[in-house]
Amino acid sequence: MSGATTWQRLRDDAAARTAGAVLGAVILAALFAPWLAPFDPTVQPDPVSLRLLAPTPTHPMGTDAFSRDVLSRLLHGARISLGVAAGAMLLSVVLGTTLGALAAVIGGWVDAVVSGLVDVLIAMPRLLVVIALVATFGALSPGWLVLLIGGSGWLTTARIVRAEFRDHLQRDYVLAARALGASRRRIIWRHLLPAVAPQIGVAAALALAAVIPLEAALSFVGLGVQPPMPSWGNILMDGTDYLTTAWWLVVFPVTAIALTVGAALVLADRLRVAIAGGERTP
Amino acid sequence: MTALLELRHLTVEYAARDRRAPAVDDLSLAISRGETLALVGESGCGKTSVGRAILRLLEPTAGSILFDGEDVRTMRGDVLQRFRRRAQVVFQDPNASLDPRMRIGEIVREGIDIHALMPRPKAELRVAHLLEEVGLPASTAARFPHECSGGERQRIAIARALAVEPEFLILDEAVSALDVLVRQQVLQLLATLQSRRKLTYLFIAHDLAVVERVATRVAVMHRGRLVECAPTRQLFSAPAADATRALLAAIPRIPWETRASGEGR
Repeated sequence: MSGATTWQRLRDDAAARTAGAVLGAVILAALFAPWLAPFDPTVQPDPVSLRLLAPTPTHPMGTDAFSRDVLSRLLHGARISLGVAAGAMLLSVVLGTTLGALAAVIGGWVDAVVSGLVDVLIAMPRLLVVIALVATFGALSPGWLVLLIGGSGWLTTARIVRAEFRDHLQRDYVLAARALGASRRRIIWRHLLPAVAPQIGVAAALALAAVIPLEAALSFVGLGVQPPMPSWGNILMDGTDYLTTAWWLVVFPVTAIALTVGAALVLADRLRVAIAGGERTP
Repeated sequence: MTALLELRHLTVEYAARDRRAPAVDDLSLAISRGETLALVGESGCGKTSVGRAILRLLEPTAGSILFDGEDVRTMRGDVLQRFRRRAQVVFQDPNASLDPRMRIGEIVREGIDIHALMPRPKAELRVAHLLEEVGLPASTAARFPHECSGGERQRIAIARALAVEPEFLILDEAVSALDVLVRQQVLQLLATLQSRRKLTYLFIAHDLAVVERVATRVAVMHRGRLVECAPTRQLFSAPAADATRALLAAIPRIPWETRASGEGR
């Protein structure tokens, strides 16, 4: 049988590889932004004669209203936006996996509390909750953004992990391990987590796809990353004032967001297909 | 012969939506050391629940399970872990009972690792011996379950159970998923292992035909209750319960086949 595991099937999937390459390129661009960016993202060299320049070889994505290089700002913005997104995604996936796993394995009141919490919180619109919190505590540092966005995003992961764990707990290979005397810890780490890792991967990719627009939206309304620190959201906000006269201020940040989110969504989808493929051919 | 396992008034109920549905209803049964007791009944009669209750994989509603005189239901900690080494299980579907992400070597070694029976290099040697004991080459250890045939996988499940040196083995429809030829080979293996290792078997099956050649005694369950328990020959020649007669009638017969023991119907 070829493509024995979900991960091998994913590697053999052209769409998944393309999406992975796009995501990888964006992450590399963010990591190496200081070396890749042609200009300082915050310096305003000449706000009079160099403002709102259309793309040229020197400024491939033009300049903004303060004469700053848009490409340099997007590259540096990627660090903030992707950093916040990755941190929030990680936090929500770790939190969701832990709570979902404990709810499934321990059951009883732990399950009741976690499931009840998920049911209540999932009914709340996330963006509004986050905006309300930010409005209460004022503008937030990137660290607090990670905590806030990540802390509100674990619900779906917890739900998926709980359901998958409960399914696998009833399977014969887990019963056989229990009959051998395996501890809960061993069953979780040796059997359940490896089994559910692809589904957690889907949840992580979906979380990333949800978190990037959320950070952008917060920064866009001025509650997220504060200027002059660039993020994809506040670059976009700066650009909307000139939407009719300087298209490059909006098109490039929107493309960056769409490309990254799209790649994460494609990856989640292909991973789901790879998981289903394994269930069709046992 | 002393009883290795004794079930007293065992009752297992599943919480259904509005009522309590008994899967096992006041079942009492004793299994002697060294014998093979077959537990037979149509699917859904509760025989699998009996096996799982014995292994503490599900919680009975009432009754006691005495293993070598000790109640399994009240075992905790070290005592329970010692019991886990003495009583093992082989499930019906080796597709489902082997973790598809683990190599055969790790699967067979799991019991040794859990009970810290021996250091790693010695454990790997032990796994090789176990694989050979169940009729597989030692090199099987490097493979994954999906690279093995159904019969090979069932042998692996047997090796995993044997790794902790049990004296009691529950065979929960252990040969039902295998085709006829492979089934005969696995039954032969189980018989060899039983005499070599002095094993006691609880052989759970839905099919009396399989049981005839391997069982010392046969217990028949119907709707959660024990309806008959008799030595195999006697049960086949003079079935007492309606459920037993129905199971006997269900054995497919080639018309010109003559039977060595009993007349079936």
